[in-house]
Amino acid sequence: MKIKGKLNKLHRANPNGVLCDKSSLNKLRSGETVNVTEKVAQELLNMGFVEKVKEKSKKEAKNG
Amino acid sequence: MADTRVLPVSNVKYGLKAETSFGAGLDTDGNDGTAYFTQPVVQAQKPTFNINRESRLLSGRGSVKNAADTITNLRGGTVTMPFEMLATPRTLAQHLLLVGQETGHSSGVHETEFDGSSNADSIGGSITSGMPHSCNLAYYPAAGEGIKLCGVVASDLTIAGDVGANNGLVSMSGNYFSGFSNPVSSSTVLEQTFDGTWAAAETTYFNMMDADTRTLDIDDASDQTFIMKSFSFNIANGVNRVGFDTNGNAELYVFPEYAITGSLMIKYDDEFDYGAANNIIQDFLNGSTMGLSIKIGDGTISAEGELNIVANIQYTGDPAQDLSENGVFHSLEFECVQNGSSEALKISTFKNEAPNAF
Repeated sequence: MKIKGKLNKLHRANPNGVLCDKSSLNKLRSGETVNVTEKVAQELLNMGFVEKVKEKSKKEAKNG
Repeated sequence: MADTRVLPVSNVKYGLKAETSFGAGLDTDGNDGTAYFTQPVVQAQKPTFNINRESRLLSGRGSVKNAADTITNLRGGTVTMPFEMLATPRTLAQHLLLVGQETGHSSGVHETEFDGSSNADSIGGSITSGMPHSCNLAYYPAAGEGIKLCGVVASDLTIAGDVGANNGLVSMSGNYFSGFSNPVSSSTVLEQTFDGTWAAAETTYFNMMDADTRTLDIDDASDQTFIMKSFSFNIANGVNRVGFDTNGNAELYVFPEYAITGSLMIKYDDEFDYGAANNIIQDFLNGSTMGLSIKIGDGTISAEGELNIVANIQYTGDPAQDLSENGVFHSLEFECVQNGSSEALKISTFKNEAPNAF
């Protein structure tokens, strides 16, 4: 699942207490979108630290 | 030969799980398989059974009490247990329910307010969606040696933050209370094994140095921003047990008064001084009611670790001073009071679980 960090919330995530790996967490903190497993994404979504990135449909992607 | 077993303090844990029926065990068949939520304490304190014991020196026994002339009565007693921990999203939300018996839960936002009308005066009837809120408490030193307490609420709760303590993380402490002091299979139990899968303690905290909003009314001004050294709120509900069921355990609890006091230490500066318009002493002398806001986070309450505290306060004593290397600070003692339609105290926090999932 693709997720993006809420930059004004994510600093409260305890890196030692979430499933997300360090590399992905660093990217989220930098404002990047990362693709993580459903379980990892769901934990951060439940905590309110990230938001789901809507995947473009094939049609939307084609139209640019 | 004496036994060499040692019980390390850190081996003892305790957990909570919301009840579905007041004072009843969630799993009463043999080992308790309930998935308790481990509480993030450093040292779990033992529950204390406050039962009645009659001990008399009867006439004709001479000058020493006789073993046959004492009576213990498990019925009508209470069980209490202190707690102290760093506040985490679930523990804070749940302990506010346990002491406040009021919730406005929606989409993960837990809002407990103290307003003189919405907090329960008594509990003991049916439980719907986790309200009113009481818990099973599992105190667990080792297999076969656990204590399960039922009908557990909090009699008092202190929420505090100090930039010089706990690395600025908000802590909470208080006491649990149960009116189920008579061990029976369907409720409070001794010698219990807890073999459910306990949920690990949470690892998200509330950092008071993350408080974006810190405002207090003063004298002729409203919502002045203060620089904070520490804060503390104490909520005591005066819980008492009432009645006796077939086992002598409580039929209900009453909450006669929700008394809320607190303290705040803020810097002496142009916003809070002894001059015209911003005179903090004048507020005490006038008996003024002031609005106080402390919001950890951006105030929206949409992620774990965010906390809004909104209160109406009156100073209970002359604003004292704290003299430190950083200059003069005001040391303010207050009580929270209902002011028209504004709550004495309202605390909002985020945990994406409903109260009945706690």
